[in-house]
Amino acid sequence: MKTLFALFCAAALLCSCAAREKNIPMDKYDPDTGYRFSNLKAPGDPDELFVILTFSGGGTRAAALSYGVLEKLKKTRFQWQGEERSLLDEVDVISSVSGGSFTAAYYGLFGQGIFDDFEQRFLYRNIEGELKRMLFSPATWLKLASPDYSRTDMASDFYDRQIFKRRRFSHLVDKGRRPFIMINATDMSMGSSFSFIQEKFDPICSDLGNMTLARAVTASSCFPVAFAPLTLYNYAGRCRFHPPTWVETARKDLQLNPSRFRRAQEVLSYMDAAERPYIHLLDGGVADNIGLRGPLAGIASNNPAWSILSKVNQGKVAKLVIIVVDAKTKPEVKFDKSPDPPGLVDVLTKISTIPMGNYSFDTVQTLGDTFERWEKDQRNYHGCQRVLGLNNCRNKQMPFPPPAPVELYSIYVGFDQIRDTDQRTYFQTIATSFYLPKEQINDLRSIGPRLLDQSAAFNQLIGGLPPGTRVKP
Amino acid sequence: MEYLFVRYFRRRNVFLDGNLIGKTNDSLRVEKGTHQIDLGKPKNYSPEFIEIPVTDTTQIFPLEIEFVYVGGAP
Repeated sequence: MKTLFALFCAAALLCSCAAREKNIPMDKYDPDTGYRFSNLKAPGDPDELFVILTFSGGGTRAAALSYGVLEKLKKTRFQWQGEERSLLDEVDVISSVSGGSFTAAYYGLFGQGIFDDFEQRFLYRNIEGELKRMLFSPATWLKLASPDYSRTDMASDFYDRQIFKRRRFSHLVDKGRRPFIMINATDMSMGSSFSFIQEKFDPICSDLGNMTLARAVTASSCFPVAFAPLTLYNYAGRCRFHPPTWVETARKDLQLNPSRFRRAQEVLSYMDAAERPYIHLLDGGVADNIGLRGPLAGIASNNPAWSILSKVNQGKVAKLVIIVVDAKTKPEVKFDKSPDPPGLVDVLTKISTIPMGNYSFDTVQTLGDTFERWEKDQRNYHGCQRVLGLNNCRNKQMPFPPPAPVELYSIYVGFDQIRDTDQRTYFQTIATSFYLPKEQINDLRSIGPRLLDQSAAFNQLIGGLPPGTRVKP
Repeated sequence: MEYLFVRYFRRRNVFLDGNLIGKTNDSLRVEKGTHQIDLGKPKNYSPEFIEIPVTDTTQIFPLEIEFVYVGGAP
């Protein structure tokens, strides 16, 4: 009887200890502190060569592909103001989703240390198997019996302990160095990206600094159905946060610029704790599976605190580089070979993946269109200048000076760029899982560098870097 | 993408919706939409700010607005 009672007490204790990590409230809003782009420094000339990486979702496949790209950038070395530097040193922002968030967060936390132990800690590890084994553990059952603990919390605890060494965002602030890591989840009710940066936590009066990186990565990779959504508590109204001026002006832009209007509505929705006391987050891939929407807003708008557009205006950015690393697959389709209508599984799979794929395609296209528009505007201006010259209008000048010039490089690393059909099919049919065979991981690590080598934009960038630039084998 | 040119008798910072975006007498890239533009501190210019929709501009013909020095520290 005594043993039974002791067991019961132990179980009750374990159950009551099983509480999810909660985001904590912030006493006072301070736009100068916390995990913000402006609080991170870059070595040397911080902005002249401004490099953004985006890492897509896709489990270990995405993590390995993005890791291979980091390896390549590390080997791409050039002379800069008398010292040898690598292109990896120049990375200013990494925006990531789901599987890509493991690589991004790890690099953000440990810098070059990623090349020492990420392979053992995550890449070649059977994470999926370990998570499944945990589900069969009686200790986990007791924890899961608590209403305050879900499979998502279990995964978050595991990542925290086993991968991210219990590091919090305050560690990134203390480090004070770029790259600025934007780990993206999806706001379930707004359907928009939710980045784990202080600017996003300000309206809900919460201090991101106390949150573990594992929590953010879990939210980013919280695949629907397999994992429950991750919940943030909304403390809006407790920290004297006042919305930035742009939110007020953007409220008038429903017709003029609907996407700006929508961004303002998102901020206002977070400020309404009565209406939204909780924010539920899903896998970042639901809103944007390549993590490019955040950087696009930074390029197209002066409103984000880290606006690249404003840096370009100030002549700080000479070369703007975006490398999109997309582990999108194209699973083999068999149902087109049969007259029978596809079954329920095929239909459900397709209706959940087709919109995501189409949206990713459009997002990359939007980046291309944006850069093309910038370049066309620059060309038009200089074309007009030439016409003035051709017509011997020597005394005439353009009515206004041109904006600060900037060179743009949009580089896409995706399996559909592989020229060999068999090889392309091989990569496009690699499973989405948190465990892949060693050979596949090796292949994924090597294909990223090869795709960069065949990219015209990447070669143009390397060719334009200061003399001495070379890529080590 | 829209273009804005803020005229002032000397070079100083331009703020768009409270954020520093560049300098006066430069052509500046801005997002399409309604914006509040000012020159920051000291507030020795008029008007105090200009709120205006920025749309249908080009690099060749940006939206031109002007602030006037009203005295005090330049």
